[in-house]
Amino acid sequence: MVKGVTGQVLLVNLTLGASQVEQVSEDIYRNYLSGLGLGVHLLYDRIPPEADPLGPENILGFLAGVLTGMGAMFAGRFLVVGKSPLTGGWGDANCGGNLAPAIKQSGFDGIFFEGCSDQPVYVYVHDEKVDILPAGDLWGKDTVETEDLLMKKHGPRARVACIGPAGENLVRFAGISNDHGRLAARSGLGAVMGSKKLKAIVLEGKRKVEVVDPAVIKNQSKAISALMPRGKSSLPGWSLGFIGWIMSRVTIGFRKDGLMSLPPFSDWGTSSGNEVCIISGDAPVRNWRGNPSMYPSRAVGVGKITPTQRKKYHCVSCPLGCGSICEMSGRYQATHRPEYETIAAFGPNILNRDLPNIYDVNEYCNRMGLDSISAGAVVSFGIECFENQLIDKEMTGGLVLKWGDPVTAVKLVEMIVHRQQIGDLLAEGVRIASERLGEASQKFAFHAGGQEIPMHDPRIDPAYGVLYISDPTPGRHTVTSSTLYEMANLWKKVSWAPMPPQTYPKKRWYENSEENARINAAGAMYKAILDCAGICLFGAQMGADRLGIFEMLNAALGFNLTADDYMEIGRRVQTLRQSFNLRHGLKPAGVKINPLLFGEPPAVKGPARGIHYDLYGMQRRFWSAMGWDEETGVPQEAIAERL
Amino acid sequence: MIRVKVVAPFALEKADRNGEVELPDRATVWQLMKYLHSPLYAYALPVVVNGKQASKRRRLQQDDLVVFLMPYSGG
Repeated sequence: MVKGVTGQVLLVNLTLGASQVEQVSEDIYRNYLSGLGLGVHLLYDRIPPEADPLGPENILGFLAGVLTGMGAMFAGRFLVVGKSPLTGGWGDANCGGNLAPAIKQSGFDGIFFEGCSDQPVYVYVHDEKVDILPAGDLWGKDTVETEDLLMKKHGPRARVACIGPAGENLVRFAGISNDHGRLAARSGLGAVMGSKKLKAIVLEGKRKVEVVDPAVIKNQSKAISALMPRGKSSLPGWSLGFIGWIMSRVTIGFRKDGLMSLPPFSDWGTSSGNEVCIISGDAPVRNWRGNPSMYPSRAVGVGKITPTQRKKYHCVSCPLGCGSICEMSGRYQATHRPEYETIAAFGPNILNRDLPNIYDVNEYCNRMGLDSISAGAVVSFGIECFENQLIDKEMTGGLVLKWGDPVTAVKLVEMIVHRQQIGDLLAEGVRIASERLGEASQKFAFHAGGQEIPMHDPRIDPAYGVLYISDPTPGRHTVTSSTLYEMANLWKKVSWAPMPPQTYPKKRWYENSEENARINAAGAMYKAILDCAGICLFGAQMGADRLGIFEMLNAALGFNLTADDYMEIGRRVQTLRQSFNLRHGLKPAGVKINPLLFGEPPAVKGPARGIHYDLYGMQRRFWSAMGWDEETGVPQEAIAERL
Repeated sequence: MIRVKVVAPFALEKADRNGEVELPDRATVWQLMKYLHSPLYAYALPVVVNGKQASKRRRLQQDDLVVFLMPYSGG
């Protein structure tokens, strides 16, 4: 029996109203670990290739990582997995909050749902017992209200994940909420949950997992905690934008270390990067066609955010605490401080300078259970189509869609959630919406394989572009990037991981080189390991050496693997995700992005001016570095056999 | 002499491969920056010593960890 895991998963059939427990063999843990790896291994064969993502044959899973629930720092993330209604291929969503340890405490490494209930239900899993309970009175309620009602019924130790009206209405980019608005947002898995009429899961239990060497976990966690920022920060808010301005003018690049950004992260979370991202050109402006001169970064800078922050919070097992509850007025009194992605999606992306409005939309998306990245991307698509007379007032119910208009943002998102008027089309995501509106609209649609592009411009960091089109869940900014790789310090642990020089010319990132291919491949494999372990990406920024992830995995599981061995597991997990897509009829070489994002044509103003790079050439080298065919992205036989 | 570890957004030519630098006793952060020939932009960056924000007049001690702050773009 492998330690560090429960050794079993739960399968709930919502059509039959039945459940069964399935033991997981040691072999599977040795080859796939837990979390993401276990999820893709189990679902690879069980979801038939012809399964409708919104039909009964799709399977939705919730998984905890190896290191969750044993005192390991930064190990509070969980994964949701299934076939994505946005891409038609592998879907997964990674989330923080408070649910992750409850999955294991309820008795399982993963909980899976197949079939569809004919009435709304929720599933209560407590100490390995399963109750499928009616949820008719919860259907239609928002995620916060739903969670509160379920916790009132089941007690304060219960942990809830639920969908809101967006998932119920099968909005293709609906997500799943836990901890009052923390979303497993991407891949549209909230719509999958809604298609099963599964309103919520409630988890509770006292199961503990044994760890082989708890002293290693404890000592490593102490070492990590010792590196955390101490004392109240007196960083003035204006300084971040100023630093961003300076660094955008420095002509050389330098190797980033995650310790450099810990204090601002602790103070403001991802919003510590709002101004840097806008000034540097990383953030999209005006649906990717604008430039930073069109949007004052201070409108969404920490100078404006700080006065609203009331209470810092930490996800489970997190020593950093990058979250905050912010006060607001209007229809809601408080919200989780919006992440950079939400700020950018509803800020510069639509030229909206109204921060209170962005807070309102943030809370609305959280309560409705809607991916704010996709929502913002769809809104900017809608505005650009309206501007070009591809959408008219009859379709919008009289609403005039305008850049920089807070009303546009709010009303359009409401229409999408409730599938009213143009919202019914936009709820399908930009790919389907642009297909139905016609060819003239497609140049305004920014997606990769159906997943809306996140708020990082690949013209500023091409590594984003490579992974947007190459990861089996396309359109992801959280797989790897040049900065994420530098902060990971993988070369200190992994024998073949390239070490970037301490300083270098910025054009180095744009080279279609073997080194960049290995960097991107190493980053992708490492991310898979993080998702098998349950580790937060922000914790991973401390560096694999400081985090001690490989050592902690060995200490938890009793394995004796090297970092290179774990990276091979990461490759295996990524390869199986890719193989899932092939099995479901997707062609990796068919995933394209709007050519504007690789400089066709090059921008004429702003930090991206004149930039053009060989995105598809870089993709081919990335595939080769992953052990996949460089022309097709199909895993080579030798690699596939090792699955 | 003391040894301190430095994490900085510029080349650390005078540091060893672990990023450690040897300095006279009671050297300040300012003196560390001058010793490292820090670029001009580095003087605008806030500094944290052992996790706590520090002024550039702060006197360093053996095994101190000196980090120059940079906001991270992303997430």
